[in-house]
Amino acid sequence: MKVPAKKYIYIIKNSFLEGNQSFFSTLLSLVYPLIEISGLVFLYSYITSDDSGFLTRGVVIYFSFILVTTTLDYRRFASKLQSMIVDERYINIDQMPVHPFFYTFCESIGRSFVTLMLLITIGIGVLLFYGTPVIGVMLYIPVVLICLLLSHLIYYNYTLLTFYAEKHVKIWFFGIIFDFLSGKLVPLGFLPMILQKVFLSFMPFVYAAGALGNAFSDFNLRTLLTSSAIALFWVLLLIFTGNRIWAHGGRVFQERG
Amino acid sequence: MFRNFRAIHILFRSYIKRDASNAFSIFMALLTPLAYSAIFLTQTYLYFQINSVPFEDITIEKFYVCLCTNQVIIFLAFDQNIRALARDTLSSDVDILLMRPVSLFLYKYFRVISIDRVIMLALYVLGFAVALAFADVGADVITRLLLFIALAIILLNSVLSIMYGFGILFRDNDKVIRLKESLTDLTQLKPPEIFPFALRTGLTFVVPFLVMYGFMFDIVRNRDGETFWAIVAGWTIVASLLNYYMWRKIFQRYESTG
Repeated sequence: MKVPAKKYIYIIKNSFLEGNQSFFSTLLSLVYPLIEISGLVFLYSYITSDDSGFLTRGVVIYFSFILVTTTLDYRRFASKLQSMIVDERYINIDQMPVHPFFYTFCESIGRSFVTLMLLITIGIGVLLFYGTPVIGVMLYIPVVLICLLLSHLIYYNYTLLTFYAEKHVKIWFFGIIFDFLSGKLVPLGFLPMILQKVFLSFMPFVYAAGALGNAFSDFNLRTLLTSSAIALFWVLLLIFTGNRIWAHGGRVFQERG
Repeated sequence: MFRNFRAIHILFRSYIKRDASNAFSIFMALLTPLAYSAIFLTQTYLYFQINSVPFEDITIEKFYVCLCTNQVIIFLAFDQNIRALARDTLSSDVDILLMRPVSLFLYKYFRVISIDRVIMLALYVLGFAVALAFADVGADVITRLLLFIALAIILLNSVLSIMYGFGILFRDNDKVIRLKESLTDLTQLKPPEIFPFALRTGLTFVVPFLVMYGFMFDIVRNRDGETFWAIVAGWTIVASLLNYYMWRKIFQRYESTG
């Protein structure tokens, strides 16, 4: 029987072996995101509480969710894709019987597979520790998957602009914008309401992390389901635009020589 | 000496020309620093919206002084260029560099110069001056801040060089870069008091990231005593010596083994 997903499983397996060659490198890939996010947890816990050093419930749940959704090293994947386009190595992917987006997504999943599993376990543990309802815990993994897909798609679409502007498409710059707009740098609940309602709710960034992190930290099933549905809509839309840019950009790039 | 400066001048001119080669690149060069600065300013503003006195004795103006100090230190420590030199050494591309009419030391600093970085640095220097004017700090604090900036640039540059040096010795620079970024994210623009005591001690005495990225908060609050300056000066001397001997060893080994 032909299994359509087999080739993608093979990509994940290959990337997993490449990215986890030693126990030490796997351990570090888990430790680094924990170090990064702990700075924000300490900072916002300090700001929001009167008692220094106290970790507030909402902040911990929010950032543990953000931590999981930002596990895949998007900047690394985007930089790699950009150099593949500039060096015209993207043609290798184009000639494979795989979808270019899912190829890169499976590569990223494979590289960070162990870290992702461990952080998801930590995330679920945090939800259970703070007494989140069972339905919330059950929805955790599907919601994380949607966020990972959406984050990856946003970076993917942006990086494909390299077809038109080559190295002037700055990945590190976009990374900072993404972190801010998605609610990684400042929790979404702390942003002014007018900014959220008028500006952010019409963009895909918040649905890649902050909006759903908010729904978990201040648990509200309705908000969680609504935000997930909007995130799914953005996933479909960005897959469509990604396909268009890949086809059109590739043609323009080839014609330009 | 003059040949070196002439080479740097040519490098600088060619980089600026490359960046200004088309309308999109000029647009990105202007947009990048503006957006980058706007995000930092907004983030700080929001701390003070969430809690009107979020940190002990720090007003928003003083926080902005620290923010600009931090960014000036980072930009003048030339992280990107040290990283590039480490990458070249790791991939044996230093041979080409050694043939250039410019010393490796100077090349390390001026290797990559882009318009957006120049604009960003100019913006933060300007921001530093404006924030100081509003922060109501005395001339002695400004003097100590400038001294701190000078020492922190040397310290950060040395620490990064040592870290990338380890990357070369262990033939894996990616992990070092990630470690550096993680520690930077952990400590950058975070007043020391937000960390538990054990972590604060570790980030001061084991790896000096809190010294480089968080100690300026103590200067603007007049909390910099003798111990403070002993730690800053001590780390600067130790890290500079380590950096010097480590890179000398690296190039000795490189030249002997090819």
